[in-house]
Amino acid sequence: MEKIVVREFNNKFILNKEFYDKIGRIGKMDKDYIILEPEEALYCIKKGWIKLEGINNFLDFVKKYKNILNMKKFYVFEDLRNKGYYLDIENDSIILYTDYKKEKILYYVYPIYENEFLYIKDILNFMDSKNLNKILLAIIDIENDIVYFAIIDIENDIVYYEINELFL
Amino acid sequence: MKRVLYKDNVFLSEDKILYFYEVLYLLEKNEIEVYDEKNNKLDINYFLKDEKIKLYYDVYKYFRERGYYLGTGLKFGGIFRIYEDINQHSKWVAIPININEKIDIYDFLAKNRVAHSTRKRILYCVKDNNYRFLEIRWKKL
Repeated sequence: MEKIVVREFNNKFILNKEFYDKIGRIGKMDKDYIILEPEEALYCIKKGWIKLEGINNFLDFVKKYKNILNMKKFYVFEDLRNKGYYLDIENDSIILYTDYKKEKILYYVYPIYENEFLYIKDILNFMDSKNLNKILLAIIDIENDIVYFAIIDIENDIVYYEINELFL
Repeated sequence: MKRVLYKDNVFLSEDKILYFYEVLYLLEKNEIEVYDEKNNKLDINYFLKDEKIKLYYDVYKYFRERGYYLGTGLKFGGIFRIYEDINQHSKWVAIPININEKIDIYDFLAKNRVAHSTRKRILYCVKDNNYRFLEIRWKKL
């Protein structure tokens, strides 16, 4: 497959929408374009699907865009995408969808490195800011293996748990 | 009223060691009396001065008053194991925690490994103004 030409605009990466299926429905569809976040663009470069002026490979991209790349998000995106899941990247999180239509959200993903600490307040703020009762914690180890845990906020009154469990 | 001796950081009734948090619960409910070795009567505030004990006891009481049975979670990496039905295996391994605390990821993984391998789930009981309960489930993706 010939590589698709992508251009950078305001720290986003843009390509024609006709290529949406060719890059596996990665990115957000605008009117006429697909907009890729840096981590999504990096994934496509690593796969050899897209090219960017002045960028020949993965390392070139990482060097040039190190200030806007979030490698935590990239590792999680890469791992889940390689396993066949459909995802989007947002400012502070990764969205994991139930299927390729990207209509129903399965989880918001919260990535963290093994050497970091998990701050309970941050987790609760993250859930509350999006009005979520569950998130997916992705723990990235030093060997780039990722282990996933669902964190489920059971209702304040624990007796409701059994009812809610059916839907989680 | 039943008398319980508090000695060497445990509660004793004759020669039996009683479960620490259950004794505190019964003490608060005025169903027992606790004395130290010098025969001084101790009330519950004597024990709840310790912040950790208070944090744990409040969770114990929360579940106890809702009809759950609790035991020590020591063997499973937590503070309490919580049963919905005493005739079945416990469902949760509870870890009371203050909202401003942080969790070591290695500790998090270790606890969840033990819980998962014993068919339980870790339940972080987060103390803020109210309680929030965060249940953890390992996901194979």
